[in-house]
Amino acid sequence: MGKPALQGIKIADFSWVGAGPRATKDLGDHGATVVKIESSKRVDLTRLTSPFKDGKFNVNSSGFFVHQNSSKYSATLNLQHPKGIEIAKRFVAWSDVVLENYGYGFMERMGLSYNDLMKVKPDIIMVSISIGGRTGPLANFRGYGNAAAALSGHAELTGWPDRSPLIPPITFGDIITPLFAVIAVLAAVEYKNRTGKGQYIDISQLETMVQFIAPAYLDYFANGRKQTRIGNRSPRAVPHGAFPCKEENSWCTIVVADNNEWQSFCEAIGREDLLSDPRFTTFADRKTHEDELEKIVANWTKTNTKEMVLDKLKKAGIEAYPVQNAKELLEDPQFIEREVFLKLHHPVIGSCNHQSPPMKLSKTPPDVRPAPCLGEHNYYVYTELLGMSQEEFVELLNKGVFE
Amino acid sequence: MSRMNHTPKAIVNEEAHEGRRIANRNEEVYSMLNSLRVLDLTDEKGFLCGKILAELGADVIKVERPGGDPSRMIGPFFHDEVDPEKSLYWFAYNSSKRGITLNIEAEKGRELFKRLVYAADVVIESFPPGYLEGLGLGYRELSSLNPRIIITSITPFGHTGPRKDYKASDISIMALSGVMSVTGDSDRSPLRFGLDQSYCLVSTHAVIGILIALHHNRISGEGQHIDVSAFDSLCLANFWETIKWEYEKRIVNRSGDRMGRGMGTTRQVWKCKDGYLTWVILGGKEEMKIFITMIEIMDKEEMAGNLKSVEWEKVHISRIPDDEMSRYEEVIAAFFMKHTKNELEQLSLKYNLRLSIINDIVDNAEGETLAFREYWTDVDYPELSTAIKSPSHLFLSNEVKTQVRFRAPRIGEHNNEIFEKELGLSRQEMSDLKRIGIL
Repeated sequence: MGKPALQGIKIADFSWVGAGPRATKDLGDHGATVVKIESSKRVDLTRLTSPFKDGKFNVNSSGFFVHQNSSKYSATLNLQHPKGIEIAKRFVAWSDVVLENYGYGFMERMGLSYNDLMKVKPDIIMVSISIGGRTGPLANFRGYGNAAAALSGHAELTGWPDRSPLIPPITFGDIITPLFAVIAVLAAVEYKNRTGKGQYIDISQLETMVQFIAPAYLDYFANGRKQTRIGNRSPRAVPHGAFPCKEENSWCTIVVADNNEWQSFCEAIGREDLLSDPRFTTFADRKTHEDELEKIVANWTKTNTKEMVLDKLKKAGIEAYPVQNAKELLEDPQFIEREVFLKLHHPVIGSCNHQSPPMKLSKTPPDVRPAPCLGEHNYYVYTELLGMSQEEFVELLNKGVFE
Repeated sequence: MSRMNHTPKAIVNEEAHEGRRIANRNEEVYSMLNSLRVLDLTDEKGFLCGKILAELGADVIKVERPGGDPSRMIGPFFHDEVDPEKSLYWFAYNSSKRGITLNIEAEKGRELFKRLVYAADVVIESFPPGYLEGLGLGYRELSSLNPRIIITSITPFGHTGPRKDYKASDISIMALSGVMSVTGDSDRSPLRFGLDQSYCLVSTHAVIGILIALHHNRISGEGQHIDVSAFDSLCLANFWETIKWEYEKRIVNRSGDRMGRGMGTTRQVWKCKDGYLTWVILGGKEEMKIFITMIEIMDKEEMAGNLKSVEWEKVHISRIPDDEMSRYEEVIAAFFMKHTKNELEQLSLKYNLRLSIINDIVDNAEGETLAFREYWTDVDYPELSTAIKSPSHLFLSNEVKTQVRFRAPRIGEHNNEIFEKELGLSRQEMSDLKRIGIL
């Protein structure tokens, strides 16, 4: 079994909450040395986010924190302490990459701007993540997790045509942007290995999210069309949506892509009569009468259990799947087989799910380690990684530098 | 509605701004991956992967079947003209790539493909598991030809597991992943997100896998096989729901534009004069300060109503019952209705209200934020006698550009460049191969 690929890459992770921490997790899982620099005076908000083990608040037992912070070392550092910045700069000197997602101007006020960091280490790679980027009209904007999905157009494109835009219940911006941060870090490391140069990278959540819905923007620029929400429909298939089954709050998605599938579908649901119905003959016809068609489909699904719907349609080669909830997902055989989550032993929580990195590499698999407790690795990080003497460590500890 | 009339105070970080000016002045465009050669055989499930690599500087060649890929028929289309050379979906996700046609199912096509793999660093593909192996083009064969090669497989479910051979559109992935079950209103069906988010997610994960494998390749000289699945990728996005089940045995119901809070839900989508915005009343010391500030602003316009009479510093938001909360929300809703998106965005920036406008497509296409960052760039389409504005960069750097370089390829556009100039085929061979359907 091979070793993780990124061993030797050193990352000083100043990020906290939102789009930052998730980025360094992937790097740590694949072998990079990630030191999460935290402070008990300013705890990462995700450590304060429920649910907690047994419902009892503890900065070390947030399930939400665990999922985003595997494979990292945790060192606490009080940046406000007179000696705090000096120690921060020792992290910079040690690291290849510094990552942060503080509010606008924070790093500069601390004396940790890119220019300051370059004086410590000329080839440092610094990655900043923010909602609108570090320059521009939104540079000092602070929003809640779903600000990015609202700003990007994602919310506008999600929902029913006759209702308001929908903010996805998952903070999608904090899912997408970390991926671009990982890409930025790895590409910058590659660039540095080739040229010897570091760089400052400014990642805007808004800009990365717009990339994911670019076709809608091209439709505006090329055609003047302002795309908006279309529920579950798709220009590429009809029917295309989620339909109610007999059981309460039980749904199946059904996708019928072309005339061949339409024929199989009508036969499967015992409605061969629809094949000679002029409202539904061609794809275009079915699109024109999609409202009525969806009612017909729903009337059929409503009289069948979810299992019957899936069984009948699968046998006919129609793409049909159940809408699963979290419990069903955790029991899903594909989910289990792919080890999307790993049960690891966490020192405070005990055995709990950690996310597996989603990319499976045949020769250099990841090594996922449990999320750290607050300041868990102070001694190791300061004496082994930063090379502090025992005496200095104890002295600084007593002065409160590591709070 | 254009918001171009208003000129906000732009915050300029001089370092990054200067960096952009410097990068623009460079004769040679520095890029991060400038020596990487990528062969891209993906369909819509994997387009974005090659585009991101190309805009990081890699030389990405889209390999299509002769006549062009079926995914060129995905709309919308330029001027609504349904044509494989006019798909805006294709344009959006395949920019910065060159393009060739090649029939890899024919022996001569496989031979040419192997010659290309011999000189390549990465192959990306999204065929059903086993398809390439069946053609003698699996990882085992290709890596014995070129041990450096990194093969990336992008599929709905991955190359392992009980569903690996099943087909699934984006909505099916949304359904299985748990994301749909919590998205939408309680009185209607679950909803998917707009456009194909699971494809974009898995494509971006593929890029990460490739860069990790590349790092290993630089040290060891060896490539490897990468397996990514749209289902795995989207399940990870849904992790909060799984935590609620794991820790609290709680299943969340769809609540539409309301967000869960303590005992009930709180409004998160609000209507305003010319559109929508998102803003949430949350508990917590800092959040209460924001709420109080909002009430003060409303009070200046004599619109604070019943909110004025509450001592908010002493209140626990999560303990307010829904019907009482609704009365407060009505007052706030009335205030928002009196203001435009622009006004509310300015108020939010000025007073740090953490309010986000729900931008529509035009807001971002024409608005100052992206214009200031030079995010929209004209990409030339000479065959259409026009340029179409497209996203210009993935992120900004003071040292390099991550830039859209040129438009998406036309069918077989670079056949001559690749087959003739690089592989040394003669004109005659090219036309013979075209005639028998290899190119």
